[in-house]
Amino acid sequence: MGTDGRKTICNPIDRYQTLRLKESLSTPFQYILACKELSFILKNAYSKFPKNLQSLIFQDTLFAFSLLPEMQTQSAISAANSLLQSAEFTLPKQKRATAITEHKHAVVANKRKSKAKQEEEGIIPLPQDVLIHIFSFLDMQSLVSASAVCRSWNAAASDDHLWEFLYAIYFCASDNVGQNGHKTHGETEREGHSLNGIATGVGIDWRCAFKIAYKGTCYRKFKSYRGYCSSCCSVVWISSNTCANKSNIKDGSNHQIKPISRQQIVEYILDGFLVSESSSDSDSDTEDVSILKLWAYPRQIG
Amino acid sequence: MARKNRNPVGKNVDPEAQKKKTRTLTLKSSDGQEFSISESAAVLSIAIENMVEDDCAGGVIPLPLVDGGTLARVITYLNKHAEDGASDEEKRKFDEEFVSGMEMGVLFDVVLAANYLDIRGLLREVRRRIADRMKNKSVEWVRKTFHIESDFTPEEEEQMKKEFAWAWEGVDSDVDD
Repeated sequence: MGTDGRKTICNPIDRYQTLRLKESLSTPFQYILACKELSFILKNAYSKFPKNLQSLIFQDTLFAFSLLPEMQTQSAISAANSLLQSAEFTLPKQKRATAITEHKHAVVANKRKSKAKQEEEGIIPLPQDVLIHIFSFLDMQSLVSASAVCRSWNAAASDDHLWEFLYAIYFCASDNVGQNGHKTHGETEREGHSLNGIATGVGIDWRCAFKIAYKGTCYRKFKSYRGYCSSCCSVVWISSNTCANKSNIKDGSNHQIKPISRQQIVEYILDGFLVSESSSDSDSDTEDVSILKLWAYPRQIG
Repeated sequence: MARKNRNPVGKNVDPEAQKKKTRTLTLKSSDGQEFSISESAAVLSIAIENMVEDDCAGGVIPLPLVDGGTLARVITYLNKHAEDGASDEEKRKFDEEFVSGMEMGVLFDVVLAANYLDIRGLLREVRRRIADRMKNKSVEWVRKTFHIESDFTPEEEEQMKKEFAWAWEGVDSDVDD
C-alpha cells in the first residue's frame, strides 16, 4: 500500500490490467487497436515480464484470437495476424503451438461466420438471368437506378433485351400498330437498323437508342409511369415485362402497353376506357421518329 | 359454377393424373430434412418433373441447393397450387399472402429455389415482389435494403450520376401536369 496518499501501482501485472486490454478487445471498434497494442507488448517486453504476467498476456492473446470470428473487417484479420507473428516470435514452444492452433481455428470460424452472415442478410449474389428477369418488372427510371447499385447489377440492368422492350413500349406502341406485338417489334428492329445499323454493324445498343429517343420527346406521356394495356383494357405500371399487373398470363396473348399521360389516366377513370389521342398523337409520333433520326448520327461520333 | 368433380372417380379424370395424386415423393433438402409431397404437386416444378420422368427419382429426390426452411415454403406453395378445389382467384390470393410477409433474405432464397426447381408461377411472383421493392427508390435505399455494398469507385459513381441524369429529365417538374 502506498504511504504517500497516492496509490502507486507497483506491480507490473496490476499496471497491465489498468490498460484494460481485455475489455477493449471485446469492443468491436477497439479490437484492432487493442490487438496491435497487445502484439507490440508481446513482441517487445514479454521476456522481461514476471511469470504471472506472461501467463496473463498469453491468455489475453488466446482471448483475442477467440474473438476474431465476431469481427467483420479485413483489418481485424490482419491485426490478429500481426498478433500471431508476435506470438510466434516470443512465446515458448508449447504456448506458441497453442496460439497457432487457436488462431487457425479463429480464422476458419471467421470465414464461416462472414459467409453465413452474407447468406442471412441475403447478399448472396443472384445469378444474372434471375436479376434480368427481376429487372424486367421495373420501369425505366428504376432500371437506371438499379444499374447504379453495383457492378453485377449494372451488367444485368444493361441487358439489351430489357431496353429493347422498353423502347418498344415507350416509342413504338401507337394506335395504328396495336394488334400484333411481333409485327411492332419487327418494325422497331428494322427502324433501328436503318438508324444505327450502318455504323454499329452488329445490332443496336438499345439503351443508347432509348436514351436518344427519350431525349427527343416531350416527357408528358412518360411522366405518369403508366401505360394502357389494350388486351386487358386496364392501366398498368410501365415496365418491360408487359402487363406485370396481370398474374394470369395463360391466355398467351401479347399484351401491348402504350404509355399514357396523367390526363389520359383521368380520362380513363372518368370514362372507363382510354380516349385514344386523336391524329395529333400520330403526328407527334412521326415527329419523334424524325427527331430520333436527327439524333442518331451525332451518337455515332460521340 | 360449382365444382362437382371433387369425388375422385369423376367422369373425365385421367387415370394417370389420378395415380400422381396418390403417389408421394420424398424431397430431401441440403441440410438433410425430408419432406413428403404428392407427385401431382411436385411436378409443378419442371425440374422435379424431369427427374421423375427420367426415373432417376428412386424414392428420395435430393435437392442439394435448397435448404429445409426454403423447401418447406416452396412445398406449401406447390401443395396449394395442386389442390383440387382451389379456384384461380383463391390461388392468386394465396400467392399474394405467400410472398407479402417475406423478408428480403427469404425472398432471395425462394427466388433461387424457384429458379433451380423451375417453378414458373412462383418464380414470376417472387421476382415481381423483389422488383416492387426497388421501384422508385434511390440507389442508396436499394443498396441498404438489399445489403449490397457498392463496388464502384467514387469517380465511377460520379460519372454514373452524370451519365444517367437523362432518365430523370422532366420527371421532377410535376407541377404543370
